[in-house]
Parts: sequence; structure tokens; C-alpha cells
Amino acid sequence: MKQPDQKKTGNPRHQRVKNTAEDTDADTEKDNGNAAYTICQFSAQRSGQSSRKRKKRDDPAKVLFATHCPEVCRQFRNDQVKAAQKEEQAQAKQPELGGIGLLIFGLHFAVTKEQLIPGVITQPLEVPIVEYENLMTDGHGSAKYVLHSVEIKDGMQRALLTILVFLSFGPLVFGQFGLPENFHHRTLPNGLEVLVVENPAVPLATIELAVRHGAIHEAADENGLSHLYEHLFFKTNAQYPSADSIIGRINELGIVFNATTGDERVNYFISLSNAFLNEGIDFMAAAARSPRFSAEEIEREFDILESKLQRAESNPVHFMIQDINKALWGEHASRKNALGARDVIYNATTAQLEAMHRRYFVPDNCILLVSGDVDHEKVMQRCAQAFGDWEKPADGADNTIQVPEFNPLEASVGVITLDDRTQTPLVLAAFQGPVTSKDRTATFAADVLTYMLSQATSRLNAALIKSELAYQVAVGYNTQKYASPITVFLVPQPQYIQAAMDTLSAEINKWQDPDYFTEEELDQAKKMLVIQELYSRSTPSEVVHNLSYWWASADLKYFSEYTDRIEALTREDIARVAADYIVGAPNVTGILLTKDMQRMLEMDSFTPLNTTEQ
Amino acid sequence: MTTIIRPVFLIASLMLGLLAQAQEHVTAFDVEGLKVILKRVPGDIVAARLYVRGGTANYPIEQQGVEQLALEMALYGDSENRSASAISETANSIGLGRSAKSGYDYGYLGVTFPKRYWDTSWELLSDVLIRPQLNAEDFSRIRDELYAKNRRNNEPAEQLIDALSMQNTFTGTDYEKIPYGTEGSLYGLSLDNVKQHFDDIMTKTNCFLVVVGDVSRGELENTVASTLALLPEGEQRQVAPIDTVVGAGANIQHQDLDLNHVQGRTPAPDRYSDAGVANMLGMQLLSDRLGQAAAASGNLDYAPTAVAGMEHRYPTNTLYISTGDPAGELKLIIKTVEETLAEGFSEAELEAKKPFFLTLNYLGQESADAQAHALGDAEAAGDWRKAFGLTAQVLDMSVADVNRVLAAQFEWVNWTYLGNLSQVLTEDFAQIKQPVKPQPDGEKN
Repeated sequence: MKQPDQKKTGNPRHQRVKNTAEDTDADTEKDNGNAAYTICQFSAQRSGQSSRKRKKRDDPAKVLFATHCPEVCRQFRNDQVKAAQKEEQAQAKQPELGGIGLLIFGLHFAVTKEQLIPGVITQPLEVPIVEYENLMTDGHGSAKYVLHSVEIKDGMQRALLTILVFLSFGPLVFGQFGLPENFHHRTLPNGLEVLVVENPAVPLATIELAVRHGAIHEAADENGLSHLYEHLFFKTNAQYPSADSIIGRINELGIVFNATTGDERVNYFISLSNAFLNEGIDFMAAAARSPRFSAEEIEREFDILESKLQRAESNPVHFMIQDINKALWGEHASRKNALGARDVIYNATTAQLEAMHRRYFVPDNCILLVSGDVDHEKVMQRCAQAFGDWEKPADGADNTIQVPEFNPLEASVGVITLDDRTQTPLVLAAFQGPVTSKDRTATFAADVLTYMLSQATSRLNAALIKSELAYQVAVGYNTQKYASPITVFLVPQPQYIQAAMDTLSAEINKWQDPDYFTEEELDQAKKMLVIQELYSRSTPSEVVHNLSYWWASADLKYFSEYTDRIEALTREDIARVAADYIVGAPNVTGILLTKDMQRMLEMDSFTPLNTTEQ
Repeated sequence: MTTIIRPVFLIASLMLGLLAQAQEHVTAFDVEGLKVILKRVPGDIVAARLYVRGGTANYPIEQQGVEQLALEMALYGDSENRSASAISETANSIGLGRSAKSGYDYGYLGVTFPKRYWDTSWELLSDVLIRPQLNAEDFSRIRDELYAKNRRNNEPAEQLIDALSMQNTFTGTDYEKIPYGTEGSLYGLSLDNVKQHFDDIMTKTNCFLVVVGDVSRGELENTVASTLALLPEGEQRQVAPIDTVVGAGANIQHQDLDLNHVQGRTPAPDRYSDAGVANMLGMQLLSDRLGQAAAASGNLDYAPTAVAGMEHRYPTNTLYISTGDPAGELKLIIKTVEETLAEGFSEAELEAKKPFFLTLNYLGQESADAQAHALGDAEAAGDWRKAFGLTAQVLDMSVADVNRVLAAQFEWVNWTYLGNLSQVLTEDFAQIKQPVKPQPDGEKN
């Protein structure tokens, strides 16, 4: 049934019933959208040159928007494997969660904070006279080269500065972070990391600027500003001050551009012919360094963001996840909401966005990635020209951007979310999972554990699906630096909801037993995760997303060691992550029902999963 | 006289250098009679495609679909050494993807796999190609699956109309055949037909291999020598040119649909020639014009599209629309095309199109499998080196050439209609009136 137009008014909130044996505090509150990872695709021309299929007519400068799964990395991996194994899909289908599945992953989208580059010391470049002693790094933080007291004057300023900055790169250092030979990483004197991936697959270049910026960095009264900023990144700037000028430039260069906002990273990327590589780097520099944030453009984005909020709110699972997030992350729940809060977005001002730019869009909080049929030396040279004199404002990020500590969950909580659009009861349990900033090894093990549990051949599947207690069960996890849940998603057969939950609890309590999984299951899971990772890195325009994701949620070393670390895991490692983060840990269990279902099931409250042995 | 060197020419010069660099990554060689093309690129994924020359020339119309069925039976059926399920299980366990397709000009069997499973992947590929069982059980199962897949694919009328339009335009030629077959042709085939066809086409003379990945020539030579080089030598098969077409016409077929579908097919030049590149650019610009005209008309659901032809033996362009007002939309398309041909495109229009054309074209070719396809298509068209000329050709193209080439493609239009008969008249499917005057050589500004 078509929903009434809720533009700028928000959805009427649903009754929320708190906790288990505690009070049932039904309150109506505004909702601000879920932590959905968002991707905004822009096209300045009609795209799809060979598309002969019917296509909705669109404006030549139409802006396309879509909400996607929050877990960009895993989603990309899955897309790659699906594409490569198209003919195999019918035989090896993954559990189909549909729209629900996408939102379930939304819960996973965790926090991000900046990753400090150890040992990098930067000082602002001052023009016309630059007096600095800058330590170049080899990627590991060790000082390599020193520049002393450089004087630059008049019209020669920029050219000289560029040359000096470029020369200061010094000889190449291969194998940084254990990266492959066709990867070339350097750090500019101002702290901007540049990573070039040479791949002559096709004559294209993809340029991505990733920023440690996202919901995790936002206080509740800022929640959504990173997302709004993302929408404005490819809008007018000092170099292209009018819409015509920037659209004209996009057309001249044939730029296909896109951007995503997550909890811990925002990434902006363009692809274009490698014949226009230099122009592309300059285009990115202009967008990153000199945004205008015109009131008119901000106002225009409100409508677009509103449509995204409404799209999220059109699925009742969105509200269940909101409720679970509030219980799981407490006062910092908004930091797991990349989509953003409606009221914050609508009240955003140019001044707020400018402050955000000064704080986060600074060289040592960013990485520039360039991949494709390019020469890394030429790329480095152009990056030095375009970004070398990018200074950090006095009130910019000082490498001490703090993400508050997320409080551990004290006790398990049960949350009932009521929504009359619900088709069947859904259960979602969330545990505070491992994060790379605290327990790196456990993050690898969590990937393997959740993969094994989600297979159709798993004991969990047999206990719930083959026994016909449930239609679906899946376990998920998303690697993040600061906060990430392990989730258990269950679609019970309605008449067996309690039995299904009891069975699920019993199964969960066995996960810490190393013998719960066979050697074959473990080997196959490790193998498939590695294969997925390899596919996700296989195309030049996508490898940069993968790299920047790991850069933000861990570091570049995580990228290079991922497959080895996965392969080295033992059943004891798996059991340990299960014991530490699931079996012995409290969780938030949410149930999504209609009021009628609640009445029929007599479920005013319930015992959260896995609480009997605590 | 002032000579102005436009940036685009400088860029074109640059691209010639890039072209040379790009080709450096490709080598072609022969392994015991099997032609092999290797593109060495970094990365963990390898794509290998065994191309079969001939396409629809390889079988009579009564057996249309036989090549697709033969390729699928090899890939998804039992081999002499393993069952189909064992093959599938192995493929899944090592992340090996499989694909098989028979088209108008060629067919292929393709695999993609992580390089770390090189040996296992080649063992499997060799097994299914050199030692397929092609047994009765697989024949029945895979034929049913193919038929079901065809039905699914043809349910959307916009896909069905493609095949109908080819049949209407190329009646009596190889291009009249439907590569994936019909119910009648598939169920008229015997197992012996399939076996015979497989033996006929799967030879070193009739096939060539394309591999893309981080693979050395020596490594590939050794592997091919012990696997695909075991294919029989075979004989050169003749592929007759297609030199006659129906030409102008209108084929109206009734079908109760929410939207009516119209496709117009016109001649097109060889996609790899300079004229072919001019045609591709021209058709994209025409598509933009059609979209703008549809938007201006204000009462149509979907924009018409113009797509350049990619077939090898007789390429054809297509105009396509799905609409609730087929008569009105046809008038709009015809009027827009005629006006476009009369006016020509401006230099500014073309120059704005070129960069996007390149970006979008190559974004779809980044995967190892897509790169293998680009090389394979070019080789099937005569020379794999053709795959590398596009960027320079595009950047060097003049608007005069685009206008001239596009105008030459509307000598005839073969219309196909799928929809409600009451909404169209035969005279709605008019031919395109050619411009009275030829395009001037100068560029329009």
C-alpha cells in the first residue's frame, strides 16, 4: 500500500517496548534513519552507451541515488564473486535475505576514527616563505628525507614548491606494508598518503580520496553531516564556482563519479580515460580543497537525502535495527548511523560544513588512491603538484580526533519493535564484536566464524532450518576499528518462535567448543573468504575501495596480510572469538512484530537469546 | 592563416604511445597448433576463454541451438573422469566460475579462477573439453535447462524483439538463426547431433585460446601443451559472408503487453574500422537526441535508444523504444533521426561525448574475463590487435566523419513491432528520408 507523503515530517514512530522483565516504556519518538551505508552515484550525462534496454528518461545532468548495504567491502566481494560465478549461482546460492538482509548489515556498520600515521611529522607549508623541516616517511613511519628552509618567492612559488615536494619523495620504496609490487605508496610532506596501483587492464584511471570521516566522528547533534557533505563534494568549488562550470568539466573529461558514506570512512572516487589523468587529479584536488557549500546546493540536497531516509524507513526492519542500536551502543548509538539524523541534516548550515571541512579534510586525515593504466611516477608528480601545498588549517584535525569509548553492554536486553507492515516475525540479536583497534586477531576469526555459521551445511542451519523451526538463519560481522556488532538473524516459523529462539540459544552456547566445527568446514570457510577477497581486488576501479576501506577500518597492512591471517586461523582461534564476544557476552535481542502478532504470541516481553548460562 | 592545434590532437598523439604500451602486455603464440593470446596483467584472478569460430555458420537452421547445447553439456555435464556434481563441487571450492555462450559469429567456453588454483582449474577445464561424456542423461537435463532459460530470457519483450528483429532482417542467412535455439529446434536435436557438432567445432584449427592474468608465457605454454593442445587438429571450416539482407520492411506482431515494443534495424559499418568508431559515436549522440526529443514531447514513458551494431559479418544498428503510444513515438523517432541527419552534430556535441564514451566503454572491461572477451572478439573479427585502437580512434574522430558515416547508415530500416495491433498502422513504420544535400566537409559549430 502506498504510504502517505512523509517528506520532512518523518514517519510516525512505532511503539517501542523496552527490555525483558523490565518495564515496557512505550514511547513515540522521532527516528533518524538507520546506519545504512550510503552510496550516491552521479552521472553528468546519460550513461550506458550500449544499453538498449528500456530506460527511464532522465535529465542529462541527473543525479542518481541508491542506498546500499553498509558493508561495502563484503558487498563488493560478493558482487565480484557473483559476477565471476554467474553460472554457478543456482547451485551455490547464499541465503537470500532480500531487503531485510541489506538492512541487517546496516546494523554492522560500525565506527571509524582517524588512523594516525606513526612517525609522520608535518607542519603547514607557508607561502611565500616556507620554513620547515619535513620528515618523509617510507610508509612505516621512519624518517627518510629532510628538507631545510626552502624559500619560494613570487610567481615561482607554486612551481618551485611543487618541484621540491616531488623531489622530496626520493627513490621508490617497494613492498611497503607488504603490498604487491604494482602498488606504490608514499606520503607527501604534508601528511597526505598517496597509493598508486598500476594495472594496465584498460586505459582508464580511477582516483579516490578517502577520508577518516563518518558517523563515528559525529556527536548526536552532528549526525548526518558527513553524509550531507558527501552529497556536496562534487558540487561547486573555488575552481568551478558555478554548476555549469563543474558539469562542463565533468563532461569534458568524461568523469564518472561516485561517493559513499560509512561509519568510519567517506570515499569519493572518479573514473576517466587515462589520457586525462592529470586533469582528473586536479579535479579531485579542487573538490577536496575548496568547496563552496552554497546554500542553494545544500537546500537541493535536502530533498535527495529525504528520499533516502524515506526509503530506509519504508522497511520495518530499519526501526528494529534502530532500537537494537540504541540498546547496544547506548549514548553513542548515533555514531552507528551513517545515514544521519533528519533534524540535523535539515538544520545544517554552511558554517557547520566549513568547520567540518577544516577539521577532517586535511592532508594527514586522507589518502589519495589512483589505480589503472597509469605510471606511478607521473601520478606521484601530479599529486605533488595538486596536493603538495594543501595546508592544514589552524583549527584543522591535529591527529588527535577522538572517538569516545563505547561502553560495554552490561546485561542482555530484549527489545520488541512493533510495525504493522511486518510480514512475519523477525529476530535479530547483536553482540558487541571485536574491533581492529583492540583485538585484531579476533576480527579475522570473526569473519571465519560468521561465514561458517551462515552456510547451508552448518550445524546451526540443521538445527533451525532442516528442523523446520525457522525459514532463515544467518550470522554476520563487519570489520571496523571502533565498534562493530556480530549479528544473528533469524526468521522463525511464527508458530515455533519460542522453540526456534531456544534452539538458537542452545546452539550459540556450543560455538565456543572447538569441535563444533569440523576441519573441513574451517578449511572451506577460510578458502572461500580468501577467494572472495581475491575477487574483490581484481578490478582497478574497485581495488581502491577495498584498500581505502581497510585503511580506515584498520590500516594498509591489514589489506596485505588478510589472506595469510585468515589461512593461519585454527579452530581454537574461532572458539576463542565465540567465547569472548558471543557465548560469554551480553547481547541485545530484537523482535519485530505487528501488534496482532504480539497479541497472538502473548509476547509483551521475552528473554533475550543466550542468557540462560550467564 | 593561423594553425590551431587542438588539444584533442595532442591527446591523440599521447594515446598512440599508450596504445603501444597497452599492446606490449599481449603476446600471441602457437602451442602445437592451437593459437593462444595472452594478456599479462597483475592480479590474483585469471580468465581463460576458448573461442570457437563460426557461430551461426556452424550449423543449419534446423539445428539452431546445437552449439549452445554442446558447449553447456561439456561445461556442466559429466566428463569421463568426474561426474557433473563433482566438477561443480570442485569448481565451487576453488572459486572457479564457468560460462558458455554461442553467438552469431563465435562461441566460447570461459572460466575465471584465482591464480593460486591454476593447476586444479586447468585439470578441470581440460577434463570437460577433452574428455566430456556428452551422455544421454546430461543431454536431457541440460536441454531442458536451456529451454527453460530461453523462456525466461524471452519473457521480457525487449529481449524477444532482438531475436525477432534479426530474423526479419536476415531471413535466409546465418543471422536468421537463433543461437540459443527454439523449442522446436532444441527438441528436434538428437544426442548424436550434439556429439557430432562438438567433434566438428572443438578442434585446434577452429578454436583459439585467450588468457588474461598474471601468467608468464612459459607457464601458459606448458599448461596448454598438456591440456588443450590435446584437442584434435581438425580442418579449417568455411564461414560464408552475409551479403544479402531483407532491407527495408515492417514486421508487425500482436502480443498483449503493457508496453508496446518497436525495434528498427539499419546497416552499420565494421565496429573496428574508423567508420565503425564514427558510427558508435554517432549512435550515442543520436541516442542523446532521441532522449531529448522524448523529454521535450512530455508524454512518453521511456526514452528511445540508438545502439551501434557489433556483429562481425553484417553489423546492424538498432533503434528501440517501449511505449504506450507506438505510433506517436515512431513519428518522433523518425522525425528526430531525419532532422539529425540533415543538421548533423556539432563539434561541441562530439567533443563532449568522446571522454564519456571512453570512460563508460572501458569501465565495463576491467575484469580479467571482460578483457579476455575484448581480445577474443577482436581476434574473431580478424586480429586481436584491433582491441587496442579505440581510444586513439575516438579522440582523433572528426565531426564531419561522424556525420557522414551516420547518414550512410539509414539506407533502409527494417522495423519490428511487438504489441497491440490496434495502436499502429503499417504506414507508421516509415523509412528514414535521407538528407537532400550531402554533409559539408567543414565542421559545424
